[in-house]
Amino acid sequence: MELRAPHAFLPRLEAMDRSDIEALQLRKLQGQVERIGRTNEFYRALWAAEGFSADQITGLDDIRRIPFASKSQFVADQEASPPFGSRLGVPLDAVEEITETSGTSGLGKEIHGHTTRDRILRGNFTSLGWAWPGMQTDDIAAFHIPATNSASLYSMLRGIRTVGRMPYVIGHLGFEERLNLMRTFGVNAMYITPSGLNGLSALCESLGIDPRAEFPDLKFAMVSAESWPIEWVERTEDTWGIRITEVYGSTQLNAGFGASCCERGAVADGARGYQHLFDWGFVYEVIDPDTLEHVQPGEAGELVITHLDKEASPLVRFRSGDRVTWFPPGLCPCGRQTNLIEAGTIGRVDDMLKVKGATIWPAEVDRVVFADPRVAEYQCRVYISDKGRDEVELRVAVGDDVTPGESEETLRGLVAELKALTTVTFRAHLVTSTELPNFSHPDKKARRFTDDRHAGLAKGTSR
Amino acid sequence: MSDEVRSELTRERADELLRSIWHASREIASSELPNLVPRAREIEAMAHFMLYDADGGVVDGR
Repeated sequence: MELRAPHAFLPRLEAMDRSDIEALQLRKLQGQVERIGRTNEFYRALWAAEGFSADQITGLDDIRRIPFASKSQFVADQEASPPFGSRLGVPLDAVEEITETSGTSGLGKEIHGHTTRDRILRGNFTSLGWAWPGMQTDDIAAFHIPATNSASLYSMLRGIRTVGRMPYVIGHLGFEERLNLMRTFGVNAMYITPSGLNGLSALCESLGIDPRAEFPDLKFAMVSAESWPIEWVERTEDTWGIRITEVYGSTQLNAGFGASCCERGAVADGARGYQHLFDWGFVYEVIDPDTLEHVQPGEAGELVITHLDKEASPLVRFRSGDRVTWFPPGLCPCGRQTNLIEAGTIGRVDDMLKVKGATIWPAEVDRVVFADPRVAEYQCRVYISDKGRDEVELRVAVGDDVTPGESEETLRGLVAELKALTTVTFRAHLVTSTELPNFSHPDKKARRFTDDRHAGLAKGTSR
Repeated sequence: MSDEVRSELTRERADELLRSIWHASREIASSELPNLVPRAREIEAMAHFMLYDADGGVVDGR
């Protein structure tokens, strides 16, 4: 298929036909597996235990011979060989930068090292997501995520500078201050979560600001990390007069992203668009997490990632825990022959939640809440507030013999501990035991978390 | 940009120049000149990825 992509940024790669992409992948996979098998203690042990050796890779399908790797293995390896684990695979003095997953301490933060080449790599790859929706060399971008050691900051700034200029960081500020700085510096593109953009829209509405008139040079908003309904994209595009595009990334993906919507955006012709997987630098598989078999086109499954370029902390057949809906190459009218995932429906195969960019594992919240012997039961609800912001409601029931004073003390203690654990402020209040489900019944699985944000985005704000 | 320089440079010629930069920076990066090594690594990495579109980031034979 001919490439019909006015904003191609790596035009030779983006115009490759499928057989050339797969030949490139095989060549790089063989080199990467040979190098890792020779130099990386973690993978050498993992592979030896499963009887795999690098010479078994003679075709791309042979990737299925390689054992899976998982987050729990990475964390155990780090605990045995802190801080990076034997998975680092390069000399310590070759590590130029680090990233951490935003996981809570109990379930283990992953620490990833990056060489100079790794660092530059992700800047270049991250640039694709900015170039494809139309960023030009003189365009300015606002970055709406708080600065941390997690995946996005450094890579996004490099990606923006590779295509445009002058990224500025405003994710640590309140929405009003963000609007002020967007007015001060100008903005042609911005990265923001769907709930963040919803919050910005809600604030504009409450202040009587028309975003179209206030930010006429804004071309697009790039979102990720949360799923969304089609109506939300269409409404927000109309409110702001912009295109919404979506990217997929993680710390494991060299702390950058490895998939992006093309020029067509997140929603095209009233339907969900596609994200193009960056097949030139990765081999992606989508598997049924129970059978471990590859899913069929249009089916959802767990994304398994093999990074073909990463030097430090490499990634080979890593089970991401991310749930995506896969489509084969050739379906997108832009002509890029990459594998595809559906935009707006990326979730988790486990119960991990992302709130305000922070990771929350329900099991960790269980551990903190039930460590207080006064607590009888609890429930959490993640929702979008009237101000358009992500919030977590914590409803706590205490035992019958707990005094009102002790109850208040319990609530204050839980809020402080959960804040320390997750960085998120839980909105806690007391309820009676009869207001909560009885999870002690042996047939009832304890699902103490509900996520109402999708419904909140669908409802949205009116203009 | 005030000092902008323009020329009739083809992409193929740009790739040749980048390969020269890559080779030179790689040699310096593997030297024992401590003040130069970190920045040479950076130049080598940037040249590598400016050539990414030429060969998909494959190093050997560059």
